[in-house]
Amino acid sequence: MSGKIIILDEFTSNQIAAGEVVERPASVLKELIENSIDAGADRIEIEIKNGGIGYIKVSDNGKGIEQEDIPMAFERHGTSKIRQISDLSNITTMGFRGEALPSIASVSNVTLTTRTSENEYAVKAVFEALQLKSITKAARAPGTTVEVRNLFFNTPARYKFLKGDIQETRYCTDIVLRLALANTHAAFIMICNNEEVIRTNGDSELINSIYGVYGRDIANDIIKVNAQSEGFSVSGYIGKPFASRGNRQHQSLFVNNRYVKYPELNISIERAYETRIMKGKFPFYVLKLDIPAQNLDVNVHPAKTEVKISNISDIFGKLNFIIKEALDKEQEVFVPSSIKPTYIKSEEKKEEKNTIIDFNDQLSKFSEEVHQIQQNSNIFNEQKTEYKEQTKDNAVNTGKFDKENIIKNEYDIKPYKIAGQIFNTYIIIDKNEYIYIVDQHAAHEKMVYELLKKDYENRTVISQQIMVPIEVVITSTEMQFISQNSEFIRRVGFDYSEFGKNSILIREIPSTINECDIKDAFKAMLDDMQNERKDKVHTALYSLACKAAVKANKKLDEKQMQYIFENLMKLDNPFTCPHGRPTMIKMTKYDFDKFFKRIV
Amino acid sequence: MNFICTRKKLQEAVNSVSKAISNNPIMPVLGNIYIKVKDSQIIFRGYDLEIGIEHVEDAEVKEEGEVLVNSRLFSDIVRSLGEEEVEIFTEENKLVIISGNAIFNIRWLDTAAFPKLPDVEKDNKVTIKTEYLKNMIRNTIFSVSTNEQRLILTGALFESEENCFKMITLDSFRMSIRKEYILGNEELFKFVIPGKTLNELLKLITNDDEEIRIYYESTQVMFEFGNCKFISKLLQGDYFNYKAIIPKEFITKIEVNVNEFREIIERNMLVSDDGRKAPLILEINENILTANTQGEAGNVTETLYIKKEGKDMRIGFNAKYLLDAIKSINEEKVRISFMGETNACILTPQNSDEFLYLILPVRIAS
Repeated sequence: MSGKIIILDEFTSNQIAAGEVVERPASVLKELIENSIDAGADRIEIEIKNGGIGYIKVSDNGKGIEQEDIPMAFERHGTSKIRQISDLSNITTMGFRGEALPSIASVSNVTLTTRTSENEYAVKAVFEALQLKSITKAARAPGTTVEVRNLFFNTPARYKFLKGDIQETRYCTDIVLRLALANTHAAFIMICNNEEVIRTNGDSELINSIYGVYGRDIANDIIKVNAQSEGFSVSGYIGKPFASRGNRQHQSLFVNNRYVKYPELNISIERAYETRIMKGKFPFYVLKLDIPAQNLDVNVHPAKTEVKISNISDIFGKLNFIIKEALDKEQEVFVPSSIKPTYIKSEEKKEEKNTIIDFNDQLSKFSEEVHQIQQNSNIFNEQKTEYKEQTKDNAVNTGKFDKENIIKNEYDIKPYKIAGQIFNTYIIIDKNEYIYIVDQHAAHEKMVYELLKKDYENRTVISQQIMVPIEVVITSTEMQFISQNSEFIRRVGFDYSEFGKNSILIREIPSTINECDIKDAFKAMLDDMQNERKDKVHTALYSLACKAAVKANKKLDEKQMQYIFENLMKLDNPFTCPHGRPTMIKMTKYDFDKFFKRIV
Repeated sequence: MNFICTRKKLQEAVNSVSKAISNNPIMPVLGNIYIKVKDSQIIFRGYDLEIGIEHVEDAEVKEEGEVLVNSRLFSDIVRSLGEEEVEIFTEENKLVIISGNAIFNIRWLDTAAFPKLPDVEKDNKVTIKTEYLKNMIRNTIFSVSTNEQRLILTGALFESEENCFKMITLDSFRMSIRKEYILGNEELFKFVIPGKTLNELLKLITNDDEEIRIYYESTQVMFEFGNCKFISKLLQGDYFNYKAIIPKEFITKIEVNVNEFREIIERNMLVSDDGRKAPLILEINENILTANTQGEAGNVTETLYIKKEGKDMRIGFNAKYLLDAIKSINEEKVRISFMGETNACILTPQNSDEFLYLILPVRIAS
């Protein structure tokens, strides 16, 4: 039986620049798991202790290593995965450099137990700092187990730079979960300090892996993406806008099944979420890109988390479009996940009665109070007040909403009834079995923004002339800024002329915003544009819309509410304002029935 | 306090004064109606610090006195009563209201906390028929500015000019001027009344066939009519020099039938009322006026035969501004004068100069 492993010729090995492979326990895990995958394993068990510094074990059910190949595997550039440099352009395996095992073994104590299916017994090899100490027979099912102990015991400099156990554990988990997502055909089980933290079932269904890795909550809030385009295809899942997170931890991008960091692609995806999520929030996604191997260079860095794509600018635009389209298809009303009903204590009520002496005062506020008692305190107050009678059954108190009640793409909004306005800020829409609570400012703002944007893009702005030119006093820097952007400002719908050194006269305004304080709006637009480098158009239109929109704390009559609601619902994406806050939330009759314990 | 009065009179009084009582008063005491019984009269007052209303009714007075009662409750009670006479008297801390077999006991408060209505000197006076004043207000109130940034424009200018009583309102996009030739030569006045005051005044005037006396000072004004006195603050500051913006020369003049034109505008608004405010585009070609709106939901085109002087032209407007103006003209024909596609146009009735509406166009993206 001939060995599978050869030593790369010198030319080839020099082509592959040497680099740092083993940086921390997580990189050890990555190399080992990738080896398992390359060995055709469909079940990989990972165990770490002390953040992987003390102990790492990776066992698989792959094809194993022949006994005579073992010493070779621990030689630098010992690999079975490629034969010559031309193979690099058609890499299908995770590893190819032949650096992993020797690098790991040189800074730790490695025990390798392996058996191929042809052999009747396993072989156990013990290495200490790359020195083979012993080879013995052992018992094992076909596959390979690599145990790594005392990482960096002989390189104190490296050791010093490791973070604490907890942090290292996080790095390890992170790398495992990404590999698990990349390799849905393999079942992953990860045990940290004797506790199972990740389990995927390896049935090749990405959604099941996401469920296994991130848990049920996120698995309910994702949208499937599957698209083919010239030069690449993409599949996977993206998070719904309101399921976004405070950092980018929950973003995984795989190119040809390899977890990579590719800032351009990341920007392309995040841009698609613009106006749907708030600033400082990042979307969830697990996306797999398939790119023909000839357009891809994976040999950028030894850790292989960086790749180069030759037709990146093409993919950038197309990917952005694909994500946008997926988001458009799956629009939803934001459903608050954890509103807890607070019940009014009877003592509180009594107290109120006693303190109110002024008869008139009470009367004049009567209707408001009724409102507040009915609407406000019960449902919207997130502060928990103690129940007067604590029910024994705790399950009743959670008041959590069922995600199943989310409705999708409800463009056909009629029939509905405007139930009223509360706090002079929110419009309540009664629609049969559920209610919408619409933020009047966010909703109107969204509507105006979309109108402005449409007119801007189609160059169909209508400018209303104004009787008395509005003088806006500005600084000379602002004046410069205005001259630089004069074409843009005119395209939005303003017409102005310079009026002395430090002021301009506005003579025409976009007719969409003719009911707001123009001076205020114009200045806000200037300020925001100057502060924003990336997307001036969006920023400018947004600040105009914000100023033009009806404010919170303003009483609206029914016609105005109807106008806002109906025009909002005509939009393509009515459910988030231009900065991603929800414009409305939804609650069902069922929720209310639960609050009032009609349903327990 | 003790008096007997008909329900009708009570109802009228309560209706009047409650217009000066806000549902959400700044001070709780302002949520009350002030009732004073003296000689053979009952005086009702409501005051929200901006406007104040005093209403006087006759009654059979048994005992004089004054109380404050909660406006909403008292109004509701009065409204609910039958047509019988109503007897109202105080009994310790209760106000007793008896009508038919119904007996209400409600609380009353001492009047000391209720602010006094301002006194308005009767030195300066203008008199006008209620009907005229109402029409003048109706024909101009829509173009009062809603933008609080220039507070003075949220009111209407009342001005005398020779023997003519003028009312002017303007926001940033249009102006309304209304005149009535009713004055002698001796009255000279110029003051700005808040738009809100005029809206309330409109509701308050129920009899078209009486005189209304307007007394004005530098900071306040009082309208006296029927059983009512209506007092309001005036807006302070210089009003906009409106005469300067009225163009004198025109390149196109047309005459159209008011009703036909109004209907055309209304039909055009059916497709423009979608938030974007698609403009109504008027195209004047020989003696044909073409009105067209390209809305989000659809479009509409309509033609009308007109009388024309001057050049052909094409101009766009916010349809609502045109409609507000045209609705106020109750003659058969309106004359519309244009100064060019990006200049103001003027609407006047064919046969009088009592109305003048100036509207600025929108620039139509080409």
